[in-house]
Amino acid sequence: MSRISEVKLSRRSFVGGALMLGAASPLLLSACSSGSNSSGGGSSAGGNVNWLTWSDHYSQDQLAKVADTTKITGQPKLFSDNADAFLQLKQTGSQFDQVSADALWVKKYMSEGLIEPFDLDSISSSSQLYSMARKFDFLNDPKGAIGYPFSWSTVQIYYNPDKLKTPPTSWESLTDPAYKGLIVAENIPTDLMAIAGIATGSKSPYAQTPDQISAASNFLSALKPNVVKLASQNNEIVTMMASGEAAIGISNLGTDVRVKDAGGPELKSAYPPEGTIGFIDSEMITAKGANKPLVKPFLDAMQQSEWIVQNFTTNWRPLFNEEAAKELTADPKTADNAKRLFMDNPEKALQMTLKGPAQDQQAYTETFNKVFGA
Amino acid sequence: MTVASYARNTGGGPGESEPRRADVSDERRDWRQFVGFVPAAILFGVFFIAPLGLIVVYSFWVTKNYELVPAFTTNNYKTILTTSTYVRTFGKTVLMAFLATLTALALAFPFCYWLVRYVPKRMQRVGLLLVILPFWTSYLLRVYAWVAILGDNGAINSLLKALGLTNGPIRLFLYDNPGVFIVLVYLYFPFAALTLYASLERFDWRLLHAAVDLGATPMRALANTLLPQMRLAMVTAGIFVFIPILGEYLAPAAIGGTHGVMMGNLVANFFSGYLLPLGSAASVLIALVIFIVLIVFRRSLDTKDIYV
Repeated sequence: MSRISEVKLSRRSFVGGALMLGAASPLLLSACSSGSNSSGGGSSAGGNVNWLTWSDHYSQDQLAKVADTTKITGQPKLFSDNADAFLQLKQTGSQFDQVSADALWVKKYMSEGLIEPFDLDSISSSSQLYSMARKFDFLNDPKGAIGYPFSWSTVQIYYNPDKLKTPPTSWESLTDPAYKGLIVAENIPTDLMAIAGIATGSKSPYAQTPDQISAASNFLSALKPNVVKLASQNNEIVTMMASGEAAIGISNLGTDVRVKDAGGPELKSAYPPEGTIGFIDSEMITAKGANKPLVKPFLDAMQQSEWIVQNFTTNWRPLFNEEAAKELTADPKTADNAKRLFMDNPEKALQMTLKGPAQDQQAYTETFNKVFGA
Repeated sequence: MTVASYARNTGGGPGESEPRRADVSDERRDWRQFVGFVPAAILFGVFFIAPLGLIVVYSFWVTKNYELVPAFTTNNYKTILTTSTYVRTFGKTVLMAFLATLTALALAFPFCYWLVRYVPKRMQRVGLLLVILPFWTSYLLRVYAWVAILGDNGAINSLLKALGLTNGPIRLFLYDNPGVFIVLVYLYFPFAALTLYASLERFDWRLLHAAVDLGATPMRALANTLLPQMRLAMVTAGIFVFIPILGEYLAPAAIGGTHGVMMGNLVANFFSGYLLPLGSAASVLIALVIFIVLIVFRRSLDTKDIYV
């Protein structure tokens, strides 16, 4: 065997080798990528489901267990804003097989031809869903179901009473200078604009007129000094409230339990009298996903009540699986929280303003950036 | 001018009118010297030039109802350049990058000087290892470690409390501009240090002694002998630090809170809100600043200086 130092490499062979390597690299990468995509032509063969989603839609042990039993591996890619996921799916074509979205975004995906309808009954775990959840208008189309209902929550105010002299009672109250540097919220421009719209009296917070947008902008400008941070993911709100770095959080149901679980203080909540926004999450099957035949068996395994129970006791916001709700309300350890957090009362989900695409996304994002820029 | 051509231009001896055989061969092979550049050219073409071109094109388009519409307009640039918040954020980003670069250089220079002059060669490697040690962990971890250091329950607050200097946590720099500044200097210090070290290590220290022997004060000797020879390294280090800071997103997002926003954060919001043209226009303007910096310092980066 010759030693490396003895190998004579001419410039010609070096350049040739480098060229071949350069040319081959994209092909190799492409082969690896398509290999992982095409590894499952059908459910029996297994493979990967590339999934655009939020971090609270799965757990790592759940993915591992589902991969063991079904040979289908969920490969989540996280996003925060619905518009971000919409853009990614639109630009990547066949790269994603499954995507999560909030309520009214589902119709938007459908109208753009980005997702395809499916027969909800063909996913056996759907029999565990509340019947009302199976019939949501915005998750159904004449051609079939377009979204598999997953979880829901209102967005309200959580606060640490030990750190505040006067507790917040409404969206408007959050602009009180006494709360300077105490508020944390998620960095979702569209939704914060919608909250600002509700706070300033808009009846259609996702379709505000220019005057209403201007009023919302003023509200956000008054709110800005009080906001210490715009968090990139919801769990950052939990971390900051648990550590005491924020005393007020604009967040989902169950934030109080998650903060307590993280070793934080006892929080109280305030439901704004002006009203609020909220989400009803669902899972969709993309129209062009290379592995979309794997999504239904993957969903079936992921949505079984045992996993929904686990999801609830981790994230503490309600889900639409009735069987899981029965288990949770029957268990003395979880019954109180399951009832308090509406796990057994899905009708509540329809009382909030559902999250959806803004009618004028440009105006929403620009207004938000103008307020929260330097 | 390449080293080869520089040598050719200055290499002809007196009375040597005919090119030598080797020169003819060199000229014939001239095009081949670029062949080695081809893999890099392909890589940069596909992964840098093409996306950059796409961003430039997008910056002149518009979005309507979540659709990119190829209707030529300069409005995106007008919006960025005439909206006070964007201009302010842009200016702040450039200023932050400039100050962080200056500070990183100011910290790196004495460190490298000390390392090269006063530390034995073997121990210098240990020093350099310490400089590059943070690279062994992910960029994300390095940034979030500072949240733990500066946070209410972080190392600094815990220490102050343990020493009895404070009763409760005080907010030291976190979620404001000073925090972002500190983290940026920390993140990019190794780039400056490694570049300056490489240059200082090659410096002929006898020049300093000679200058002092000729009557210069130590400071004057440094200013007249060392610093001119360090100019190239300083500029290179400055560019290595300044350019990535201009596009920083994570450090201001994680450390800066709502006060520490930089242009990268607004660009991210534009893109996640499907405003690709506005985000692209802002990105092109950032790239333009980088381009101007490179133009301004191009003379300092002229490699022929090395061989003078």
